[in-house]
Amino acid sequence: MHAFWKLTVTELKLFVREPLAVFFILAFPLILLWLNGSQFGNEVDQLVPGYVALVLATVGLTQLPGVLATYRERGILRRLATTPVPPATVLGAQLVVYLIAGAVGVALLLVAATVFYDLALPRATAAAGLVYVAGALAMCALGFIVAALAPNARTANAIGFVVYFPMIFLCGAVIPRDALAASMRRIGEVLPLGPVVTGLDDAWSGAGLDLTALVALAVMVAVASVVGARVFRWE
Amino acid sequence: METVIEVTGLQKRYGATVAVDGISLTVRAGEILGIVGPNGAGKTTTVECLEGLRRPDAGEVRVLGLDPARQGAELRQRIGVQLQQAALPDRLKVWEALDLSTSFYRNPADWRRLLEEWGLEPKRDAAFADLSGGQRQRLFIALALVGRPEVVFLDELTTGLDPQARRATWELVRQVRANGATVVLVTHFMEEAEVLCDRVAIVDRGRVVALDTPGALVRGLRAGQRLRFRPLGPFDPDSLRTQSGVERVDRDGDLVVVTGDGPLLATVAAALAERAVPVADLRTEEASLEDAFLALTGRALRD
Repeated sequence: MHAFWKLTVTELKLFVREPLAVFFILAFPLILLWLNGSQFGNEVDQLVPGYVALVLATVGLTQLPGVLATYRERGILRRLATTPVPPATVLGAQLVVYLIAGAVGVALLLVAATVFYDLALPRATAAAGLVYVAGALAMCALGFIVAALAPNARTANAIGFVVYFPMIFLCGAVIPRDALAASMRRIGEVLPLGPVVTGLDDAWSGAGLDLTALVALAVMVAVASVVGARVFRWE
Repeated sequence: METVIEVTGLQKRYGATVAVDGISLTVRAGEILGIVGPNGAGKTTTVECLEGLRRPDAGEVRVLGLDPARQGAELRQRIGVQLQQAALPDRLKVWEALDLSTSFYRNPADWRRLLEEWGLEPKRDAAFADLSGGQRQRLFIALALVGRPEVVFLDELTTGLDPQARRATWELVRQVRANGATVVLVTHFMEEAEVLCDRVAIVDRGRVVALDTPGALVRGLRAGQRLRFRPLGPFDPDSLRTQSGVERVDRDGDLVVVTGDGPLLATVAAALAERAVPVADLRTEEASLEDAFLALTGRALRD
Protein backbone atom coordinates (compact mmCIF):
# COMPACT_ATOMS: atom_id res chain seq x y z
CA MET A 1 0.00 0.00 0.00
CA HIS A 2 2.85 2.29 0.86
CA ALA A 3 4.26 1.80 -2.64
CA PHE A 4 0.92 2.72 -4.22
CA TRP A 5 0.64 6.05 -2.43
CA LYS A 6 4.24 6.93 -3.04
CA LEU A 7 3.71 6.10 -6.69
CA THR A 8 0.59 8.27 -6.78
CA VAL A 9 2.42 11.23 -5.24
CA THR A 10 5.22 10.77 -7.78
CA GLU A 11 2.75 10.66 -10.67
CA LEU A 12 1.08 13.78 -9.30
CA LYS A 13 4.43 15.59 -9.27
CA LEU A 14 5.06 14.49 -12.84
CA PHE A 15 1.63 15.68 -13.92
CA VAL A 16 2.18 19.13 -12.45
CA ARG A 17 5.52 19.34 -14.28
CA GLU A 18 3.70 19.42 -17.62
CA PRO A 19 2.36 22.99 -17.68
CA LEU A 20 0.56 22.59 -21.00
CA ALA A 21 -1.53 19.71 -19.71
CA VAL A 22 -2.40 21.56 -16.54
CA PHE A 23 -3.35 24.67 -18.49
CA PHE A 24 -5.55 22.79 -20.92
CA ILE A 25 -7.49 21.02 -18.19
CA LEU A 26 -7.92 24.01 -15.92
CA ALA A 27 -7.99 27.01 -18.20
CA PHE A 28 -9.95 25.82 -21.24
CA PRO A 29 -13.34 25.56 -19.46
CA LEU A 30 -12.70 28.85 -17.63
CA ILE A 31 -12.01 30.61 -20.92
CA LEU A 32 -15.20 29.20 -22.40
CA LEU A 33 -17.11 30.31 -19.33
CA TRP A 34 -15.74 33.80 -19.69
CA LEU A 35 -16.47 33.97 -23.41
CA ASN A 36 -20.02 32.68 -23.17
CA GLY A 37 -20.93 33.61 -19.64
CA SER A 38 -21.41 37.27 -20.36
CA GLN A 39 -23.97 36.43 -23.05
CA PHE A 40 -26.00 33.98 -21.04
CA GLY A 41 -25.85 35.78 -17.71
CA ASN A 42 -28.15 34.01 -15.33
CA GLU A 43 -28.62 31.15 -17.71
CA VAL A 44 -25.08 30.11 -16.88
CA ASP A 45 -26.44 26.95 -15.29
CA GLN A 46 -27.17 25.78 -18.79
CA LEU A 47 -23.52 26.03 -19.68
CA VAL A 48 -21.76 24.79 -16.57
CA PRO A 49 -22.93 21.16 -16.55
CA GLY A 50 -21.52 20.84 -20.06
CA TYR A 51 -18.25 22.43 -18.98
CA VAL A 52 -17.96 20.01 -16.10
CA ALA A 53 -18.30 17.19 -18.59
CA LEU A 54 -15.70 18.96 -20.74
CA VAL A 55 -13.14 18.82 -17.92
CA LEU A 56 -13.76 15.10 -17.48
CA ALA A 57 -13.44 14.40 -21.18
CA THR A 58 -10.24 16.47 -21.41
CA VAL A 59 -8.62 14.52 -18.62
CA GLY A 60 -9.69 11.11 -19.88
CA LEU A 61 -8.99 11.52 -23.57
CA THR A 62 -6.26 14.10 -24.05
CA GLN A 63 -3.96 13.15 -21.19
CA LEU A 64 -4.44 9.58 -20.08
CA PRO A 65 -3.97 7.72 -23.38
CA GLY A 66 -0.76 9.50 -24.34
CA VAL A 67 0.91 9.10 -20.97
CA LEU A 68 0.03 5.42 -20.64
CA ALA A 69 1.10 4.63 -24.17
CA THR A 70 4.35 6.55 -23.67
CA TYR A 71 5.12 4.61 -20.52
CA ARG A 72 4.61 1.41 -22.43
CA GLU A 73 6.52 2.47 -25.52
CA ARG A 74 9.58 3.68 -23.65
CA GLY A 75 9.86 0.55 -21.54
CA ILE A 76 8.89 2.24 -18.28
CA LEU A 77 6.17 -0.32 -17.59
CA ARG A 78 8.45 -3.19 -18.54
CA ARG A 79 11.11 -2.10 -16.09
CA LEU A 80 8.47 -1.95 -13.37
CA ALA A 81 7.59 -5.56 -14.17
CA THR A 82 11.02 -6.53 -12.80
CA THR A 83 10.22 -4.93 -9.43
CA PRO A 84 7.80 -6.13 -6.76
CA VAL A 85 5.30 -3.48 -7.95
CA PRO A 86 3.16 -4.73 -10.85
CA PRO A 87 2.74 -2.32 -13.80
CA ALA A 88 -1.00 -2.29 -13.16
CA THR A 89 -0.30 -0.30 -10.01
CA VAL A 90 0.91 2.57 -12.18
CA LEU A 91 -2.47 2.55 -13.89
CA GLY A 92 -4.16 2.84 -10.53
CA ALA A 93 -1.88 5.70 -9.50
CA GLN A 94 -2.55 7.52 -12.77
CA LEU A 95 -6.29 7.08 -12.34
CA VAL A 96 -6.11 8.73 -8.93
CA VAL A 97 -4.06 11.61 -10.36
CA TYR A 98 -6.52 12.24 -13.17
CA LEU A 99 -9.48 12.05 -10.84
CA ILE A 100 -7.79 14.66 -8.68
CA ALA A 101 -6.92 16.80 -11.71
CA GLY A 102 -10.54 16.62 -12.89
CA ALA A 103 -11.82 17.52 -9.47
CA VAL A 104 -9.54 20.54 -9.24
CA GLY A 105 -10.62 21.69 -12.70
CA VAL A 106 -14.29 21.33 -11.83
CA ALA A 107 -13.84 23.04 -8.48
CA LEU A 108 -12.17 26.03 -10.15
CA LEU A 109 -14.95 26.16 -12.70
CA LEU A 110 -17.69 26.07 -10.08
CA VAL A 111 -15.99 28.72 -7.94
CA ALA A 112 -15.53 31.03 -10.92
CA ALA A 113 -19.10 30.51 -12.09
CA THR A 114 -20.54 31.06 -8.63
CA VAL A 115 -18.49 34.16 -7.94
CA PHE A 116 -18.68 35.86 -11.34
CA TYR A 117 -21.91 34.62 -12.84
CA ASP A 118 -24.13 33.80 -9.95
CA LEU A 119 -24.27 30.10 -10.61
CA ALA A 120 -26.71 28.19 -8.48
CA LEU A 121 -25.41 24.87 -7.31
CA PRO A 122 -27.23 21.77 -8.60
CA ARG A 123 -30.62 21.23 -7.11
CA ALA A 124 -30.16 17.48 -6.93
CA THR A 125 -26.73 17.49 -5.34
CA ALA A 126 -26.47 13.76 -4.71
CA ALA A 127 -27.49 13.02 -8.28
CA ALA A 128 -24.89 15.47 -9.55
CA GLY A 129 -22.24 13.81 -7.41
CA LEU A 130 -23.13 10.33 -8.65
CA VAL A 131 -23.13 11.33 -12.30
CA TYR A 132 -19.87 13.19 -11.82
CA VAL A 133 -18.08 10.18 -10.34
CA ALA A 134 -19.52 7.82 -12.93
CA GLY A 135 -18.60 10.26 -15.70
CA ALA A 136 -15.04 10.71 -14.43
CA LEU A 137 -14.52 6.95 -14.31
CA ALA A 138 -16.15 6.46 -17.70
CA MET A 139 -13.91 9.02 -19.41
CA CYS A 140 -10.81 7.49 -17.83
CA ALA A 141 -11.96 4.02 -18.85
CA LEU A 142 -12.40 5.30 -22.40
CA GLY A 143 -8.90 6.72 -22.35
CA PHE A 144 -7.63 3.40 -21.04
CA ILE A 145 -9.15 1.54 -23.99
CA VAL A 146 -7.55 4.00 -26.39
CA ALA A 147 -4.16 3.43 -24.76
CA ALA A 148 -4.73 -0.33 -24.79
CA LEU A 149 -5.49 -0.47 -28.50
CA ALA A 150 -3.12 2.15 -29.87
CA PRO A 151 0.15 0.69 -31.19
CA ASN A 152 2.24 3.62 -29.98
CA ALA A 153 2.11 6.88 -28.08
CA ARG A 154 1.67 9.14 -31.07
CA THR A 155 -1.34 7.13 -32.28
CA ALA A 156 -2.77 7.04 -28.76
CA ASN A 157 -2.68 10.83 -28.57
CA ALA A 158 -4.12 11.15 -32.06
CA ILE A 159 -6.99 8.74 -31.45
CA GLY A 160 -7.70 10.42 -28.13
CA PHE A 161 -8.05 13.82 -29.79
CA VAL A 162 -10.01 12.46 -32.73
CA VAL A 163 -12.56 11.03 -30.32
CA TYR A 164 -12.43 14.05 -28.02
CA PHE A 165 -13.14 16.95 -30.38
CA PRO A 166 -16.31 15.84 -32.16
CA MET A 167 -17.61 14.39 -28.93
CA ILE A 168 -17.33 17.54 -26.85
CA PHE A 169 -19.22 19.51 -29.49
CA LEU A 170 -21.88 16.95 -30.36
CA CYS A 171 -22.63 16.07 -26.73
CA GLY A 172 -23.21 19.65 -25.72
CA ALA A 173 -20.15 20.06 -23.57
CA VAL A 174 -19.01 23.18 -25.41
CA ILE A 175 -22.17 24.46 -27.08
CA PRO A 176 -25.42 23.90 -25.15
CA ARG A 177 -27.41 20.99 -26.53
CA ASP A 178 -30.36 23.20 -27.31
CA ALA A 179 -28.22 25.16 -29.71
CA LEU A 180 -27.40 22.05 -31.73
CA ALA A 181 -29.37 20.78 -34.68
CA ALA A 182 -31.66 17.90 -33.77
CA SER A 183 -29.72 15.33 -35.75
CA MET A 184 -26.46 16.31 -34.10
CA ARG A 185 -28.07 16.23 -30.69
CA ARG A 186 -29.24 12.69 -31.32
CA ILE A 187 -25.73 11.55 -32.26
CA GLY A 188 -24.39 13.26 -29.17
CA GLU A 189 -26.83 11.37 -26.97
CA VAL A 190 -25.32 8.00 -27.86
CA LEU A 191 -21.69 9.03 -27.64
CA PRO A 192 -19.93 8.19 -24.34
CA LEU A 193 -19.96 11.80 -23.09
CA GLY A 194 -23.68 12.14 -23.83
CA PRO A 195 -25.00 10.55 -20.62
CA VAL A 196 -22.55 12.66 -18.59
CA VAL A 197 -23.97 15.88 -19.99
CA THR A 198 -27.63 14.84 -19.79
CA GLY A 199 -27.15 13.47 -16.30
CA LEU A 200 -25.48 16.66 -15.06
CA ASP A 201 -28.08 18.82 -16.81
CA ASP A 202 -30.89 16.99 -15.06
CA ALA A 203 -29.16 17.20 -11.71
CA TRP A 204 -28.64 20.95 -12.09
CA SER A 205 -32.13 21.75 -13.18
CA GLY A 206 -33.63 19.63 -10.46
CA ALA A 207 -35.11 17.04 -12.75
CA GLY A 208 -33.43 14.55 -10.47
CA LEU A 209 -31.34 11.50 -11.18
CA ASP A 210 -31.17 10.39 -14.78
CA LEU A 211 -31.04 6.68 -14.05
CA THR A 212 -30.59 5.70 -17.68
CA ALA A 213 -27.55 7.91 -17.93
CA LEU A 214 -26.07 6.55 -14.72
CA VAL A 215 -26.55 2.94 -15.76
CA ALA A 216 -25.11 3.67 -19.20
CA LEU A 217 -22.00 5.15 -17.59
CA ALA A 218 -21.64 2.26 -15.16
CA VAL A 219 -21.83 -0.24 -18.00
CA MET A 220 -19.26 1.78 -19.93
CA VAL A 221 -16.85 1.70 -17.01
CA ALA A 222 -17.29 -2.05 -16.51
CA VAL A 223 -16.93 -3.02 -20.15
CA ALA A 224 -14.02 -0.69 -20.87
CA SER A 225 -12.11 -1.84 -17.80
CA VAL A 226 -12.53 -5.53 -18.54
CA VAL A 227 -11.79 -5.22 -22.25
CA GLY A 228 -8.94 -2.80 -21.66
CA ALA A 229 -7.30 -5.04 -19.08
CA ARG A 230 -7.44 -7.98 -21.45
CA VAL A 231 -6.23 -6.11 -24.48
CA PHE A 232 -3.62 -3.84 -22.91
CA ARG A 233 -0.14 -4.75 -24.07
CA TRP A 234 2.47 -4.13 -21.43
CA GLU A 235 5.32 -3.76 -23.87
CA MET B 1 28.79 -24.99 -3.10
CA GLU B 2 25.34 -23.54 -2.95
CA THR B 3 23.46 -23.30 -6.23
CA VAL B 4 21.48 -20.13 -6.63
CA ILE B 5 20.09 -20.60 -10.13
CA GLU B 6 19.22 -23.85 -11.86
CA VAL B 7 18.10 -24.01 -15.46
CA THR B 8 17.26 -27.31 -17.13
CA GLY B 9 16.26 -27.75 -20.74
CA LEU B 10 14.97 -24.20 -21.20
CA GLN B 11 13.07 -23.70 -24.43
CA LYS B 12 11.41 -20.62 -25.85
CA ARG B 13 10.21 -19.82 -29.29
CA TYR B 14 8.59 -16.79 -30.86
CA GLY B 15 6.29 -18.08 -33.55
CA ALA B 16 8.48 -20.07 -35.88
CA THR B 17 11.77 -18.73 -34.49
CA VAL B 18 13.41 -20.84 -31.83
CA ALA B 19 15.18 -18.39 -29.52
CA VAL B 20 16.25 -20.82 -26.81
CA ASP B 21 16.74 -24.45 -27.74
CA GLY B 22 17.44 -26.45 -24.61
CA ILE B 23 19.67 -24.35 -22.37
CA SER B 24 20.83 -25.81 -19.07
CA LEU B 25 23.13 -24.14 -16.59
CA THR B 26 23.68 -23.54 -12.91
CA VAL B 27 24.89 -20.44 -11.13
CA ARG B 28 26.70 -20.76 -7.82
CA ALA B 29 26.24 -18.48 -4.86
CA GLY B 30 28.55 -15.50 -4.90
CA GLU B 31 29.86 -15.97 -8.41
CA ILE B 32 29.83 -13.56 -11.29
CA LEU B 33 28.58 -15.47 -14.31
CA GLY B 34 28.91 -13.97 -17.76
CA ILE B 35 26.65 -14.86 -20.66
CA VAL B 36 28.19 -14.00 -24.00
CA GLY B 37 27.09 -14.65 -27.53
CA PRO B 38 26.22 -12.98 -30.81
CA ASN B 39 22.98 -11.11 -31.40
CA GLY B 40 20.04 -13.44 -31.56
CA ALA B 41 21.85 -16.18 -29.65
CA GLY B 42 19.13 -16.30 -27.03
CA LYS B 43 21.04 -14.68 -24.15
CA THR B 44 18.53 -11.94 -23.39
CA THR B 45 15.58 -14.33 -23.73
CA THR B 46 17.24 -16.74 -21.32
CA VAL B 47 17.88 -14.03 -18.77
CA GLU B 48 14.32 -12.72 -19.19
CA CYS B 49 13.05 -16.20 -18.31
CA LEU B 50 15.22 -16.11 -15.19
CA GLU B 51 13.81 -12.71 -14.25
CA GLY B 52 10.24 -13.80 -14.82
CA LEU B 53 9.64 -11.38 -17.69
CA ARG B 54 9.03 -14.25 -20.10
CA ARG B 55 7.38 -17.62 -19.68
CA PRO B 56 9.43 -20.50 -21.10
CA ASP B 57 7.74 -22.98 -23.39
CA ALA B 58 9.49 -25.91 -21.76
CA GLY B 59 12.15 -26.63 -19.17
CA GLU B 60 12.63 -25.78 -15.53
CA VAL B 61 13.93 -22.59 -14.02
CA ARG B 62 14.65 -22.11 -10.34
CA VAL B 63 16.10 -18.86 -8.99
CA LEU B 64 16.73 -18.90 -5.23
CA GLY B 65 14.57 -22.00 -5.23
CA LEU B 66 11.61 -20.13 -6.71
CA ASP B 67 9.91 -20.50 -10.08
CA PRO B 68 10.06 -17.04 -11.70
CA ALA B 69 6.86 -17.67 -13.64
CA ARG B 70 4.76 -18.87 -10.74
CA GLN B 71 6.42 -17.24 -7.73
CA GLY B 72 7.47 -14.02 -9.40
CA ALA B 73 6.09 -11.67 -6.79
CA GLU B 74 8.17 -13.26 -4.04
CA LEU B 75 11.23 -13.56 -6.27
CA ARG B 76 11.18 -9.90 -7.31
CA GLN B 77 11.67 -8.91 -3.69
CA ARG B 78 15.01 -10.70 -3.72
CA ILE B 79 16.46 -9.94 -7.14
CA GLY B 80 17.60 -6.77 -8.89
CA VAL B 81 17.36 -6.30 -12.64
CA GLN B 82 19.05 -3.82 -14.92
CA LEU B 83 17.57 -4.10 -18.41
CA GLN B 84 19.42 -3.31 -21.60
CA GLN B 85 16.74 -0.91 -22.79
CA ALA B 86 14.93 0.94 -20.07
CA ALA B 87 13.55 4.34 -19.30
CA LEU B 88 11.97 6.42 -16.61
CA PRO B 89 9.49 9.29 -17.02
CA ASP B 90 11.35 12.24 -18.54
CA ARG B 91 10.71 14.69 -15.73
CA LEU B 92 11.40 12.31 -12.88
CA LYS B 93 14.41 13.39 -10.83
CA VAL B 94 17.23 11.02 -9.96
CA TRP B 95 16.64 11.16 -6.24
CA GLU B 96 12.89 10.73 -6.72
CA ALA B 97 13.41 7.56 -8.74
CA LEU B 98 15.60 6.08 -6.03
CA ASP B 99 13.35 7.21 -3.21
CA LEU B 100 10.27 5.79 -4.94
CA SER B 101 12.03 2.46 -5.44
CA THR B 102 12.72 2.08 -1.76
CA SER B 103 8.97 1.89 -1.15
CA PHE B 104 8.82 -1.24 -3.32
CA TYR B 105 10.99 -3.46 -1.15
CA ARG B 106 10.64 -4.96 2.29
CA ASN B 107 14.20 -4.19 3.34
CA PRO B 108 15.53 -1.44 1.10
CA ALA B 109 19.03 0.00 1.10
CA ASP B 110 19.71 3.63 1.93
CA TRP B 111 19.13 5.38 -1.39
CA ARG B 112 21.38 8.29 -0.44
CA ARG B 113 24.28 5.89 -0.07
CA LEU B 114 23.54 4.33 -3.47
CA LEU B 115 23.38 7.83 -4.96
CA GLU B 116 26.89 8.49 -3.68
CA GLU B 117 28.35 5.07 -4.45
CA TRP B 118 27.34 5.24 -8.07
CA GLY B 119 28.55 8.79 -8.58
CA LEU B 120 25.07 10.25 -9.01
CA GLU B 121 25.20 12.75 -6.15
CA PRO B 122 26.01 15.71 -8.46
CA LYS B 123 22.96 14.77 -10.54
CA ARG B 124 20.64 14.30 -7.61
CA ASP B 125 18.07 16.84 -8.79
CA ALA B 126 18.51 16.29 -12.50
CA ALA B 127 15.55 15.05 -14.52
CA PHE B 128 15.93 11.70 -16.27
CA ALA B 129 15.74 13.35 -19.68
CA ASP B 130 18.75 15.48 -18.82
CA LEU B 131 21.05 12.59 -17.95
CA SER B 132 23.78 11.30 -20.24
CA GLY B 133 23.77 7.68 -21.39
CA GLY B 134 26.38 6.71 -18.84
CA GLN B 135 24.52 8.44 -16.02
CA ARG B 136 21.30 6.67 -16.95
CA GLN B 137 23.16 3.37 -16.97
CA ARG B 138 24.47 4.00 -13.47
CA LEU B 139 21.02 5.04 -12.26
CA PHE B 140 19.46 1.83 -13.54
CA ILE B 141 22.12 -0.27 -11.84
CA ALA B 142 21.63 1.67 -8.61
CA LEU B 143 17.87 1.10 -8.91
CA ALA B 144 18.52 -2.62 -9.34
CA LEU B 145 20.37 -2.60 -6.03
CA VAL B 146 17.76 -0.73 -3.97
CA GLY B 147 16.16 -3.90 -2.66
CA ARG B 148 19.42 -5.39 -1.42
CA PRO B 149 19.06 -8.24 -3.91
CA GLU B 150 20.59 -11.67 -3.49
CA VAL B 151 20.88 -12.07 -7.25
CA VAL B 152 21.56 -9.20 -9.64
CA PHE B 153 20.92 -9.44 -13.38
CA LEU B 154 22.84 -6.97 -15.53
CA ASP B 155 22.35 -6.69 -19.28
CA GLU B 156 25.07 -4.80 -21.19
CA LEU B 157 26.01 -2.75 -18.18
CA THR B 158 28.86 -0.78 -19.70
CA THR B 159 27.48 0.07 -23.13
CA GLY B 160 28.03 3.72 -23.85
CA LEU B 161 30.60 4.18 -21.11
CA ASP B 162 34.11 5.44 -21.75
CA PRO B 163 36.96 3.09 -20.76
CA GLN B 164 37.54 4.84 -17.46
CA ALA B 165 33.86 4.69 -16.49
CA ARG B 166 33.80 1.07 -17.62
CA ARG B 167 36.60 0.11 -15.28
CA ALA B 168 34.99 2.02 -12.44
CA THR B 169 31.74 0.12 -13.05
CA TRP B 170 33.57 -3.22 -13.00
CA GLU B 171 34.99 -2.31 -9.62
CA LEU B 172 31.52 -1.48 -8.34
CA VAL B 173 30.21 -4.83 -9.61
CA ARG B 174 32.99 -6.60 -7.74
CA GLN B 175 31.88 -4.64 -4.69
CA VAL B 176 28.30 -5.83 -5.19
CA ARG B 177 29.55 -9.41 -5.19
CA ALA B 178 31.76 -8.75 -2.17
CA ASN B 179 28.62 -7.65 -0.33
CA GLY B 180 27.21 -11.12 -0.84
CA ALA B 181 25.18 -10.98 -4.04
CA THR B 182 25.41 -13.32 -7.02
CA VAL B 183 25.73 -11.56 -10.36
CA VAL B 184 24.59 -12.74 -13.78
CA LEU B 185 25.69 -10.44 -16.55
CA VAL B 186 25.06 -10.44 -20.25
CA THR B 187 27.73 -8.78 -22.31
CA HIS B 188 29.21 -8.61 -25.74
CA PHE B 189 32.47 -7.05 -24.51
CA MET B 190 34.90 -9.94 -24.35
CA GLU B 191 37.29 -8.00 -22.18
CA GLU B 192 34.50 -7.46 -19.69
CA ALA B 193 33.72 -11.16 -19.55
CA GLU B 194 37.36 -12.07 -19.24
CA VAL B 195 38.16 -9.55 -16.53
CA LEU B 196 35.01 -9.58 -14.45
CA CYS B 197 33.50 -13.04 -14.64
CA ASP B 198 34.34 -16.14 -12.63
CA ARG B 199 32.73 -18.30 -15.27
CA VAL B 200 31.49 -17.59 -18.75
CA ALA B 201 28.68 -19.28 -20.66
CA ILE B 202 29.05 -19.00 -24.41
CA VAL B 203 25.62 -19.10 -26.01
CA ASP B 204 25.03 -19.51 -29.71
CA ARG B 205 21.86 -20.30 -31.64
CA GLY B 206 19.88 -20.91 -28.49
CA ARG B 207 22.31 -23.36 -26.91
CA VAL B 208 25.11 -23.22 -24.38
CA VAL B 209 28.20 -24.03 -26.38
CA ALA B 210 30.62 -23.87 -23.47
CA LEU B 211 30.52 -23.00 -19.78
CA ASP B 212 33.78 -22.61 -17.87
CA THR B 213 36.20 -20.12 -16.42
CA PRO B 214 37.65 -17.70 -18.98
CA GLY B 215 41.10 -19.22 -18.41
CA ALA B 216 39.91 -22.75 -19.05
CA LEU B 217 38.04 -21.70 -22.19
CA VAL B 218 41.18 -20.14 -23.59
CA ARG B 219 43.35 -23.09 -22.59
CA GLY B 220 40.88 -25.35 -24.34
CA LEU B 221 41.90 -23.84 -27.64
CA ARG B 222 44.48 -25.87 -29.41
CA ALA B 223 46.13 -22.77 -30.74
CA GLY B 224 46.84 -20.70 -27.66
CA GLN B 225 49.44 -18.35 -28.98
CA ARG B 226 50.14 -16.15 -31.92
CA LEU B 227 53.39 -14.72 -33.26
CA ARG B 228 53.72 -11.91 -35.73
CA PHE B 229 56.87 -10.75 -37.46
CA ARG B 230 58.13 -9.04 -40.57
CA PRO B 231 60.74 -11.04 -42.46
CA LEU B 232 63.55 -8.82 -43.75
CA GLY B 233 64.75 -11.29 -46.36
CA PRO B 234 63.33 -14.07 -48.49
CA PHE B 235 61.19 -16.36 -46.42
CA ASP B 236 59.35 -19.60 -47.09
CA PRO B 237 56.33 -20.15 -44.79
CA ASP B 238 56.47 -23.91 -45.28
CA SER B 239 59.72 -23.98 -43.38
CA LEU B 240 57.73 -23.11 -40.27
CA ARG B 241 54.65 -25.19 -40.97
CA THR B 242 56.59 -28.37 -40.31
CA GLN B 243 57.79 -27.26 -36.88
CA SER B 244 56.23 -29.00 -33.89
CA GLY B 245 53.51 -27.00 -32.17
CA VAL B 246 52.82 -24.81 -35.18
CA GLU B 247 49.15 -24.93 -36.11
CA ARG B 248 49.13 -22.53 -39.08
CA VAL B 249 51.18 -19.92 -40.86
CA ASP B 250 49.45 -17.07 -42.67
CA ARG B 251 50.47 -13.86 -44.37
CA ASP B 252 48.87 -10.61 -43.28
CA GLY B 253 50.20 -7.99 -45.70
CA ASP B 254 53.93 -7.96 -45.18
CA LEU B 255 53.58 -9.68 -41.81
CA VAL B 256 53.80 -13.38 -41.17
CA VAL B 257 51.38 -14.71 -38.55
CA VAL B 258 52.19 -17.98 -36.84
CA THR B 259 49.49 -19.62 -34.70
CA GLY B 260 50.21 -22.56 -32.46
CA ASP B 261 50.91 -23.92 -29.03
CA GLY B 262 53.65 -25.01 -26.75
CA PRO B 263 56.98 -23.10 -26.62
CA LEU B 264 56.09 -21.37 -29.87
CA LEU B 265 58.47 -18.43 -29.58
CA ALA B 266 61.44 -20.66 -28.93
CA THR B 267 60.53 -23.05 -31.74
CA VAL B 268 60.03 -20.32 -34.33
CA ALA B 269 63.09 -18.33 -33.25
CA ALA B 270 65.23 -21.44 -33.55
CA ALA B 271 63.84 -22.25 -37.00
CA LEU B 272 64.41 -18.70 -38.22
CA ALA B 273 67.96 -18.61 -36.83
CA GLU B 274 68.74 -21.95 -38.48
CA ARG B 275 67.76 -20.52 -41.86
CA ALA B 276 69.47 -17.20 -41.07
CA VAL B 277 66.29 -15.18 -41.77
CA PRO B 278 66.46 -11.71 -40.19
CA VAL B 279 63.13 -10.47 -38.85
CA ALA B 280 61.78 -7.30 -37.33
CA ASP B 281 58.75 -6.35 -35.17
CA LEU B 282 58.46 -9.75 -33.56
CA ARG B 283 55.44 -9.85 -31.27
CA THR B 284 53.64 -12.56 -29.35
CA GLU B 285 49.97 -12.55 -28.42
CA GLU B 286 48.10 -14.75 -26.03
CA ALA B 287 44.85 -16.09 -27.34
CA SER B 288 41.93 -14.29 -25.79
CA LEU B 289 38.40 -15.21 -24.95
CA GLU B 290 37.45 -13.73 -28.27
CA ASP B 291 39.60 -16.36 -29.99
CA ALA B 292 37.93 -19.06 -27.94
CA PHE B 293 34.58 -17.67 -28.94
CA LEU B 294 35.55 -17.64 -32.58
CA ALA B 295 36.76 -21.22 -32.39
CA LEU B 296 33.69 -22.48 -30.58
CA THR B 297 31.03 -20.73 -32.61
CA GLY B 298 32.76 -20.32 -35.93
CA ARG B 299 32.07 -16.64 -36.15
CA ALA B 300 33.14 -13.32 -34.71
CA LEU B 301 31.14 -11.84 -31.85
CA ARG B 302 30.43 -8.57 -33.61
CA ASP B 303 28.08 -9.17 -36.51
